[in-house]
Amino acid sequence: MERHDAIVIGAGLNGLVAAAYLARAGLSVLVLDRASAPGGIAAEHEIAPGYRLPRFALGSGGLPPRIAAGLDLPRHGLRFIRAEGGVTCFQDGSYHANYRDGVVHRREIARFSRRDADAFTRYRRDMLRAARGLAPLLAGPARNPAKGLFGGLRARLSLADSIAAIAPGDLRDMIRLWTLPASDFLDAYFESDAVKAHLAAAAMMGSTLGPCTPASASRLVLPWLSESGDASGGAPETLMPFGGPAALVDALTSVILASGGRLRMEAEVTDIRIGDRKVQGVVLANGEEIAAGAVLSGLDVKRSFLSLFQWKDLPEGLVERVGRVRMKGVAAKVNIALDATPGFPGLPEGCPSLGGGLRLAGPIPAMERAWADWRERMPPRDPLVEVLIPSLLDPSLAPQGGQVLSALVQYVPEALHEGPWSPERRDALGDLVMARLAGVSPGIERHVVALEVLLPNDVENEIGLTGGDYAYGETTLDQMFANRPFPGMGGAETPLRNFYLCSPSAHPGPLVMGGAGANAASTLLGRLGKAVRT
Amino acid sequence: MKWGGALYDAIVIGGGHNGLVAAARLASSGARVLLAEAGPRVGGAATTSEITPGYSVSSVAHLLEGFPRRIERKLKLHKHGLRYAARDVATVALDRDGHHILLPRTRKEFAAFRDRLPKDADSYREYVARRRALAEFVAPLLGERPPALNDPEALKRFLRRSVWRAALKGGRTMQSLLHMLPEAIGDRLDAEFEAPLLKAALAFDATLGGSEGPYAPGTSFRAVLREAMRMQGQGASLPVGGLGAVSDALAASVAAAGGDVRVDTRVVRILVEEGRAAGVELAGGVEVRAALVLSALAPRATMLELVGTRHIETGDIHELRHLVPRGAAAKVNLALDRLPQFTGLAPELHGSRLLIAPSLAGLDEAANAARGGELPFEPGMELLLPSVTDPLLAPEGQHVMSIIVHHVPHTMPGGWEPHREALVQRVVRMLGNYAPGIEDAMFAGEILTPPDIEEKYGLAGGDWHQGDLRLDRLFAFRPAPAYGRYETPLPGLWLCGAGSHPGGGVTGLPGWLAAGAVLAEGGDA
Amino acid sequence: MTPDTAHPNESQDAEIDLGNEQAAVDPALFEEMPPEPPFTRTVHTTPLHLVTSAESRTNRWTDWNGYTVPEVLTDLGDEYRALRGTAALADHSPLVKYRIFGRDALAFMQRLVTRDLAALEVDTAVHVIFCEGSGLVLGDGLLFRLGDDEYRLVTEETHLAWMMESAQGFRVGIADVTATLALLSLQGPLSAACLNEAGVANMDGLAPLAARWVDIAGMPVYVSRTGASGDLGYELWADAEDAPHLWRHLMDKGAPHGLRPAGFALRELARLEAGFPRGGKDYLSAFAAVASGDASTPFELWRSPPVAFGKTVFNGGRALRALASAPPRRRLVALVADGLEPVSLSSVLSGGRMVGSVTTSAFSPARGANIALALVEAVALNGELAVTASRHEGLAFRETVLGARVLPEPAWNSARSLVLPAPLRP
Repeated sequence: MERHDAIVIGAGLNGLVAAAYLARAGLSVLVLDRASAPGGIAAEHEIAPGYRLPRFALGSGGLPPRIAAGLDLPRHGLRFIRAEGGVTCFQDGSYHANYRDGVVHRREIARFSRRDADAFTRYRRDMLRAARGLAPLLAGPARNPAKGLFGGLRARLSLADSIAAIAPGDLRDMIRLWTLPASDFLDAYFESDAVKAHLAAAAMMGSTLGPCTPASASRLVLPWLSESGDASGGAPETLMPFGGPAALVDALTSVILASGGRLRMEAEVTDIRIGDRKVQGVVLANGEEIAAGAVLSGLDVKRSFLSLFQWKDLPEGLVERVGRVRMKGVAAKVNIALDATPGFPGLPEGCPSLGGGLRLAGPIPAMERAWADWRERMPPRDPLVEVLIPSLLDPSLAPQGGQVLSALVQYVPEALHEGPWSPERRDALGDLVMARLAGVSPGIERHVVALEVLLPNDVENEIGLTGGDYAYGETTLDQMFANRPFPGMGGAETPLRNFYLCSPSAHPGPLVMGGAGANAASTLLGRLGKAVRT
Repeated sequence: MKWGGALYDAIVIGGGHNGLVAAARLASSGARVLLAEAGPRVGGAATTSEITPGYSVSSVAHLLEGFPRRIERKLKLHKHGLRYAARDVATVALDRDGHHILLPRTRKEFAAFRDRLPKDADSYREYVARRRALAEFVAPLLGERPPALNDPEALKRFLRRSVWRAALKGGRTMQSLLHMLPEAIGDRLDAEFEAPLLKAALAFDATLGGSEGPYAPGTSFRAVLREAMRMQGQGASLPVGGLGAVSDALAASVAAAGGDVRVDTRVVRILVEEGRAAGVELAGGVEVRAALVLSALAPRATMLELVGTRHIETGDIHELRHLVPRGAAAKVNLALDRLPQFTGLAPELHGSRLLIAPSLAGLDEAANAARGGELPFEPGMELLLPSVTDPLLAPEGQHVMSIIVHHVPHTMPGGWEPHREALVQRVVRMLGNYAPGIEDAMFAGEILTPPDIEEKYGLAGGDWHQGDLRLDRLFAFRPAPAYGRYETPLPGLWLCGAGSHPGGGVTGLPGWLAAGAVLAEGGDA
Repeated sequence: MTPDTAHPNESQDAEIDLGNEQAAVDPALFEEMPPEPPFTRTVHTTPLHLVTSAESRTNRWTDWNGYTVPEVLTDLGDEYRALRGTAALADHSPLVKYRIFGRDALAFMQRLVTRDLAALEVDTAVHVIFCEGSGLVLGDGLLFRLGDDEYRLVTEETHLAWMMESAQGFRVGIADVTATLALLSLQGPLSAACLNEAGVANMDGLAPLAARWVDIAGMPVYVSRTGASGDLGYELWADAEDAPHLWRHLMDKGAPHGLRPAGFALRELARLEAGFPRGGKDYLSAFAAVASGDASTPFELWRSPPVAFGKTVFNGGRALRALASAPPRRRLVALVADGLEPVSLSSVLSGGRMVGSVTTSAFSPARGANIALALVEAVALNGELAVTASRHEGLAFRETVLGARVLPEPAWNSARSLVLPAPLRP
């Protein structure tokens, strides 16, 4: 029987990152995926002849430099570009752009409020402070703050002392960030509705919370996580892989192959073999068995446990606990092929912020209404839309003169209160997104070559992501850090020996790209006694 | 220092129950105290009034849950006339079809509960035990002055003490508390229970008075907080004569200790001299001087309106900037010519606290509607028939009903006037589902929207909690760090209202602890 | 007109003389530009841009608060010699200027700043510091009392959000007049003579920090005896439209006395020699300090900061009272390093340990040595200090350690800055 040191189920980004680390550490690694090409949600797809784009992922966000460098990705052809952080277009025709230069960014804010332009300095300070506090927690394996409480009284007392040593202001800032609604948090800094909506729109993408829901303030810090904080005093910028997610997938694949690892596509794992109370290997759909020293699952936590194992093999209570993990779809993906470059007459020509994407949003109360609709399982009336045109940066993605446009539509429920999505409802959602796009780019509808609407259900059906939840589990604090995916299993290590979770269902979740894969790899290597820098 | 021939050591602004408790404690320690209430009577949210002649009811708050025994004893409230009509009032979740759920207090009741909900009974016992364990951990913190934040040593002692206490309870307490802090009560209940009615009843307490629905993060902790608040008191009780009786007893206690309680006495300004509070100015221009001023009014109104921004640093004002209390519950009081017949409700349970909240989804929808400025279609409600146990409240054979309506917007588009009737209609329709024919029994009633409660009873914003029960505004952070231990940035001025730790509800604790702080630190002034 | 809405080219295109090569120094001025989106230009120009462009022999520009200003107009050495020997004229318009007015202006300012302003008379200025609640410095600047209920606050950075927030409950208005009010800085021993020549009588009667409205060539100009040069000097506040004419007039009349135009580099050198810290460079506003250790108290930055504990309430007062009782943890001091070669200084060492950082350094012609402002741990100030110094030699980067001493006195602190100038020749 074929045997490997480690098998990674799922060739998504995190699976590939984990496999790359393991392969580089000298393990024999096999990556299995039921799809025909690696990439998972980042895999590329042809929407019309000659028009290619990542089918499910929006494709923004960058790999942290420590992972890119740790895996030697630049040597495998990966290039990064710094993108300035995006534009929000409001329905009244106004817009708010992000600039990395502090003077320019403050001047941009000053178009709405001069007072807010000045207040941005303070907001930026607080966001960077929060990000600096958060970054170490996200970079390593999950640390359980309650662990100290089990480590004997001495450890608990020293934990108490270290809490007392936190400056009261910092303690309160931390509490505020993790408990307040984003709207209240922003109100403490800014007066202009546009400025607040611009910041909230970026934060709410991918969130199951509304901007006026408690605890949503914590999402405001996300764009700042990648910022070093020294430079220029403006808005945060992102480091994006040149060529989009596909380039990242290619580079990771190249690392795995170069280090002796293997990828097998169209190989669906249907079962995991347990023997001697340890995971021993996997069974493929065709009945083939492959043995492994360790199995890493890049699937979400529900699929990992509930569909790969016989439930009777699982420890007592695990099925219930996994069942309780909240995974909710909040977004639909709309892919559009265009035979011309869309114009944005409302935006200044050559606006550098477009590289960071375009958001179509309303004021905060409209976002909250959209969220309330989602909670009541209504089709969105006023969705939050994030748009990327990857072919602007990489013209090879579309035929000469054409463009591909990728949109994520926020607050789309998995199923409607009236039942599953009907074809009419789906078309209506596509039309609504086109109408919103036409609002900022008049005439865009005349250039549509192809358009597809992918609802949370489609995501679930086609790539097996439960609920179509791009976050692999809600990212509220009770499902983060040591509580991710569920309390008691914080991190990659599962209650089953030799079985690890390397998907964003585990710490640090979707907040750090590739972070879960890197964590799983370092956990396994730590077990094997191999030190590795992730 | 003189007013009407009297000299005062301390002036308490606001005659709600917290102001009264503070005044009584100071007076009983020998201070010469003036309590100035702007309205025609003391009591604030703890007042009894007539719906129509002969029919009296607790106007706003209607159940005494967290009123500590020590306050009752030290202020000799029994001597001053406080009696109880009912103690340990049961809670019943009403069911449309008459299969009500009595939240069990005894073994026998639990057996009945198990018969009614065989699948949920064990989970319920576990849930209540865990909630109790957590609440026992939090409860002592609510009964004392919060530690000084800027004194790491004191904070360290405080935290170490908490760790010891948690250790005595076994390590799990702290871990579940940490997990619970960010959780939504709805998610927790969905995971543990099946019966929608039970879930809604348990979520009801966690969200009552707040604008959030059961699926808002952080509400799980509120259930613990609410339980811990209850532990301060002596179980849910109904004073004879309604909650106004508590205020009356407190006022009598102040007077007996030589304090001066004056109604219709509005304070328009707190005098500031050489950076200290020096007394108050009353409407009409009279100045009354005292080295100590305690305000039971909302912190924001106290500092911004009575003191004025120029006597406070910008940062300290900024902290108060968003402390605008906005109530999220209304009160409906009804006079009934007979006892309403709730389908299937045992006669002995008519005196219980009756909850109408069919499901979590219903509460969630109501919360979302209210936050969008709409009336909830099926509002959650808490009902009491105090006249069942306290017959003097209404003529013989007749009754009063006191209803707290959950998730009511503070402000309505276009003002409250056109919507008042609609709200009453919805309340009555809901009631009719559970007590058919109740509309025929009603012959008088009043509705108090959040703005009404503010106007008539002086509860700022009509907010039952006087500021959200949010983690960043609890303990020493309540209402804001610079005001967290009853003191204010203005020497000589102290806060003693529900805006301070431990918060709203008829507990008297903010007043009690503030007076304690004043006696410990402010007495030399 | 504000810096955010201003489109200086539109109105001024007509004034540019295309035949004049001297004017063609800023290529941006000649680009065809539609009404521009507010961010396509990263810098704006001051009302004096055209006249300074005309003076520029070097085409060296720098960004000061988002405005393009000349770094050096002719030669830094020449400009320095003019400043210390005769007089120099520079465009300081990018300094942030707020007009504060209304019935509560005094009460508002009293609570905003740490100094007691009760005795501040109309037409005088004082140095003020303002802090947030924890006693950390937000900024410092010069405050003029323009009238009974009117003040002008001149700062290095913007503070509008904090001022607006502080204004709650006060009957005051706050206007940012940075773009509409031009500021010409005339500094040097002969600056009074230059003004006299330009037609301003009785300048010799103007005491330090005093100010007065005068008429120069028919233009109303507010002249104050201020300026961070450590020497006799004046600052001229004029309407943006008058400013270019005022500049030309002053240059015409002053040139025979040795008046030279100067750039931003000279301003930095002069204030370093005179020992004035600059917000955003020598210290960070508490709101901009991402690392909490980067924020400073007034006692760290100034030897005896104007903090009036006798005042009742002012922002930071409570915290400062506590801070004042303990000696500051670190101090901003002026250092002079050994050696004559121009180098740039970075870390401060004591016994091989890093005890501080240099915030500004330059070669001071007055001392003939490298001087610096540096934030240094207070305990190290009594011991031997050294600074790391670096320079390029060809392609190589040389780093050395030089001995350093704390300067007890500013490198340039002329008695002229404090006394009335000698009576001027008619």
